[in-house]
Amino acid sequence: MTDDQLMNSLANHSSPDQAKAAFRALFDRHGGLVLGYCTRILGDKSLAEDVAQEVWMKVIQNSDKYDARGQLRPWLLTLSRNTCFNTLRAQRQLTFTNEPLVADLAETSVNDSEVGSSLNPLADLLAEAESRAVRDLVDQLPAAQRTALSLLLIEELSYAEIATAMGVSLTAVKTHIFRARKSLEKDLRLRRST
Amino acid sequence: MSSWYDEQPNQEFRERVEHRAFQAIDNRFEQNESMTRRAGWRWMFQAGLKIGAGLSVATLVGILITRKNLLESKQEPSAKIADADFVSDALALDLLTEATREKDSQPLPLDFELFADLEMLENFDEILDLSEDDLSKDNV
Repeated sequence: MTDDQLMNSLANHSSPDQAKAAFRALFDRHGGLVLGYCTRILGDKSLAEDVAQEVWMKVIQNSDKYDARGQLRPWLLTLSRNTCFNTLRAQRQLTFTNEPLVADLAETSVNDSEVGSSLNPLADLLAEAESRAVRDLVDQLPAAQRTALSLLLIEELSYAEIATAMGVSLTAVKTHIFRARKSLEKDLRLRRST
Repeated sequence: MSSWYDEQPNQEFRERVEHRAFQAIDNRFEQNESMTRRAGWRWMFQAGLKIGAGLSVATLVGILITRKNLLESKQEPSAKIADADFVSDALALDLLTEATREKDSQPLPLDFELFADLEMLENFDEILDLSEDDLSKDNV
């Protein structure tokens, strides 16, 4: 069964057994994605589990509104991102600001070409590297860099979309990603050499 | 295919999510059932209201028609009396017969008006004395 068919079955109000079977199948397919994405954004496995659970409740509640036609993955990621950001806002931990970055920009002087060229090598590097090691390194990044990188690599949002989602300027997003890339490259090289 | 960012859920987390999810699904199903039941009751109630309203209107129309007929009958009494006379002809005849019978069985009361008329008729003797010739065409 396709994701859309499973979502249809989940939205079926007349047969709870069918809906439960569909939910189980969807969780088997995308449970890792939702939990992984929440963990990358929140940087806390325990909190991520709670938020991922909320995401799955929202999937059930909104299953009859789902009309993405083969676009379940981006729909799940958007739902996960919004739930994560809401949790961070409620905990007053969503502190993506532009101010400290303005000073940093003078030091690093990031330009567009540098950020753009860095994406593919970074993705390749991540693909090559051992998953657990990469996850650990990403989780150790500062919150803003980790979030920006997750939105870029996992949800595949554009810089402008990341800036809107995080509520920061486009320049700030570029800086976050540039710094995250530098940090990851350095750590991965170090890990390989040892 | 698993990506670097995927985090495979452990068994405890999976069970926790499934437990809550299945509860939510059951609640949604029960809610749906009760909504369907409530909609059925609402439909029956509305149908009852419509029938009641229809009956009320019909009763009201009936009352108005009756009232109109009563008013019309007060305005045209002659027709009603004529009908009544016609209907009670047989009864009137019976009463008359009965009265006559009673009258015959009892002595006649003195009728002074009748005596007065008789006095007037004393002149009839003169009329009775007239001969046939007096009554001929030429004399009349």
